[in-house]
Amino acid sequence: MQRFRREGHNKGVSATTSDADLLILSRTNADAFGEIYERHAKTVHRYLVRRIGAEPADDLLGDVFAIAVEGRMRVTIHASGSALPWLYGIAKNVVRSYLRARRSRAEPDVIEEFDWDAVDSRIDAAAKGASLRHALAQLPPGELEVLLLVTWEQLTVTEAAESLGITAVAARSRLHRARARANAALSSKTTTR
Amino acid sequence: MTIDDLLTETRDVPSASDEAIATTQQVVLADVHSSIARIRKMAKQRARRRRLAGAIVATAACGAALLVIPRGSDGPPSTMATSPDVGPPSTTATASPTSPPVVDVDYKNASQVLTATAAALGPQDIPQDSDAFWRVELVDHFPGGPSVSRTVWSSRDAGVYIQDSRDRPEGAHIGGPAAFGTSGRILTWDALFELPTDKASMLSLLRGSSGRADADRVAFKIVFELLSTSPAPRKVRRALWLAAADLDGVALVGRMADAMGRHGWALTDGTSTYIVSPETGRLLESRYKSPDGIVYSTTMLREGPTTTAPKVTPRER
Repeated sequence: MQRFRREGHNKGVSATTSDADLLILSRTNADAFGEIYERHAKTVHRYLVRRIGAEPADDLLGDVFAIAVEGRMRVTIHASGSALPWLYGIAKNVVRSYLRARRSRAEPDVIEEFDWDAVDSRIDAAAKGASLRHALAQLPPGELEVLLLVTWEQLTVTEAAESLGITAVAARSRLHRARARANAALSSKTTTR
Repeated sequence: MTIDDLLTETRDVPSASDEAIATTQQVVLADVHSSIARIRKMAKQRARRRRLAGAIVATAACGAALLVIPRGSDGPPSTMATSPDVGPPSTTATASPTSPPVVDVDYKNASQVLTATAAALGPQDIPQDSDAFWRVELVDHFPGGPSVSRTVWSSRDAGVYIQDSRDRPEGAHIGGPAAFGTSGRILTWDALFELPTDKASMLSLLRGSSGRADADRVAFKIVFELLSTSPAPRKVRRALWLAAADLDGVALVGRMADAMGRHGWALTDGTSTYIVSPETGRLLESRYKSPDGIVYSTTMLREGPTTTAPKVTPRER
């Protein structure tokens, strides 16, 4: 006898449902939030790994989505239709709390944005790691975050703005300043060596 | 070397293991279920308060109604007779001086509406090539927000494209392959064309697939999901309408117009209401009422085969 294929879909929830619609449905439909998770969990996990490394990322992924479950009632999705800028905004705060807790335990080498050990493990020469660290250290946190969202997470500038709760003009301006400042720091480090 | 070069070099990271993703998913879904349970409890409490307030108002209105005398009526006000929900549909012929008589059918129950809709089905064009598309044009209505026009192109091999007036005006390729259905029961394109074409087999398939106590309610949703978005051939559609006519728990709401002003008959299982047209054999609109009382609806505008989908270019980063 013919059987329907069982999958975790429900009323109004399918691969074609937009994130914005899923979040509205998810107020009373668990499958809708399940679909959001399936679409974005791995991407959010990569965001976490880039900042704090693989092991803590596994733990913090659940924290990000637990906050998202509560936040789904109030969120208004970015015009691009993607829930990612919103989820990155949550992830950023989760990472900060985690790093703040580590710093309070007097662990060095930790700033509020990411763990340098996690970054150094992905670079092919110690000198480059030092240069990157020097350049990023020159950036105010607001500029640094825009730069990372656009380069590491591949958000558009307007999505990065949405994630940070600032205007697109402000984000564009911060990105411009961040690149100028970081590249100037890289040049001065090269010339003084 | 620029800052962008250095950041690009440090961008690649290993993906999460499937196990880590699945473990967290279980925890997250438990959180969602618990949150939904809280919302439903609050909605019930609100509804109880509203009912209580309504009862007080109704009691007050009863007293006031005794004083109302209907204008232009010599006799006592008539009360609307409730039609029994059995017996054949009754028909009334009305004629105007300029148009031929229109036969107005009065259906007594949901089964009559669904059977008549099956009988009225027109021919169904089907995409012939594996990369041809089934194009569905519809409008979504959300409470408190503007309506969103949405068009979906589904194909067996070329994936699914979607274009909507709010989030994706330029269109997007969702990937594929196309799949149809709902409530945990999804059909591939090929499986859709292998569905039974007689009522008994279709009913057995629909009921047997869920294995749940509320099998008929689940079946009702699947029927309408397939009728609204899929390129199911005419014989399959006919079997779906006829099978729906035999499902328990489907009530006739009555005549109703959809958001486009098209007239049809509304049927409901309590949470989902569908307006269908027994004259054209088409589903006109579906409405879903969430447990907290919010109504979402989708109006079906047109559907049919096409060989072209939107030209979508990857979004610039």
